[in-house]
Amino acid sequence: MEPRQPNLVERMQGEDLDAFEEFFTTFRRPVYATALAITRDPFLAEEILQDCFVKAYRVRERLDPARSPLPWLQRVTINLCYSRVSRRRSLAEPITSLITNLVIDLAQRPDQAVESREVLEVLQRGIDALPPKQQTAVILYYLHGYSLAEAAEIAECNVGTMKSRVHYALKALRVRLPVERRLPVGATIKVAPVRPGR
Amino acid sequence: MSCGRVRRELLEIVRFGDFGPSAASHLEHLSNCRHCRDEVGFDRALVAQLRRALEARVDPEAPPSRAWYAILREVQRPEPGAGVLTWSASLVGWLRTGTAMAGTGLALLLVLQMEVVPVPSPDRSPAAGVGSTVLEPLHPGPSERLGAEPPTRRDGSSRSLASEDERGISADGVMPESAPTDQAPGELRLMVRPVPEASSEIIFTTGSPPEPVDLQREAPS
Repeated sequence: MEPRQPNLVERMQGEDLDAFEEFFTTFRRPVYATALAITRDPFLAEEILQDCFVKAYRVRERLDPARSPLPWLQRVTINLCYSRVSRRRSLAEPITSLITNLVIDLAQRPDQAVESREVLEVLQRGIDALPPKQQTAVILYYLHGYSLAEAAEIAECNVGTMKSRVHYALKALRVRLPVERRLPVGATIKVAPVRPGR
Repeated sequence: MSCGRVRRELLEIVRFGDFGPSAASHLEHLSNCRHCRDEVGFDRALVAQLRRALEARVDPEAPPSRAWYAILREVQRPEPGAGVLTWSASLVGWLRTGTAMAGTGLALLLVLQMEVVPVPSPDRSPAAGVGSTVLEPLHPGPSERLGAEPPTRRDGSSRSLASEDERGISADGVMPESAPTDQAPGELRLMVRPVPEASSEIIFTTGSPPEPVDLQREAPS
């Protein structure tokens, strides 16, 4: 029987820098995506990515080779983001408008494009305004597509709590939409007639 | 089951994909209730827009390649705090040890040998003198000062010298040649007394030499 090949974490624990590079290449995208989704600042996200992997290397002996390091990396990334994002939030504002302008679907009719851009802007502001735990929940669940159990593991909560965070995040985002967009399709707004003389 | 409750449960089923056997009745309700259909449809549209908004936030998806070189440079540097302690870290260590030892010694001194004895403050204004305290040995010898007249100035003025002598500074800002010698050699006194500037003053006095040692000397005005 052949001896088991050491996995990436085990090789990294053996001071193998090539293994560390492979580790970085494997996990850099989800880590960077999380950092960018929270901070909305590519430079800050890159800084957080670097800090996260430097930390991973420094504590490599404590990583469990039997488990995927991704939940740990995501957790560290999220913590790094929220410890820095409040200081840098103002810097992200110009990038917000840049992204919003870039994502318009030009194939749409102009009026639809304007509507879509408005909704997207409202949603971006809404995501920014969410409490960190709810923001993390929608990023893990809707952006990364983690299952509820995986997202709960990363956020260190139980599945019910994760469901609740997603639910309240959607509720908060819905409230931010203009009234006519909050109503179900086909619903009408009843406006009381204004009586003359009042 | 009310429409509102079914709608809430339907939203959870659709959002989290919990399509089990229990979902059958909800799906049946969905096929018959237009409001619930609209609600679920709106929720799905909201989620689709949310996904778009989130994806827009993470563009570009990949970090630049320079990130790896920065990480490599960082991990090849010695870790902060590893290896030889810097001189400042050593100094901080010594200071901590010294402070801890001094604190322990003072506490022991107070617990084992001292009691708090209030003494009248002969020469202080009511606002400044209230609460003056002298800490003395449990069994005071002939050097007991309670009730004794405060020392007076050499020039015979009525103002007490106690406050200045106990601070170790005479009225003209010069260290006194002698101080009250009613302490036995080797006797240690600790005086704690508020000063007019609302800070506190701690004075250690020993029997020999008799000058009080002022830990917090005030600058001459």
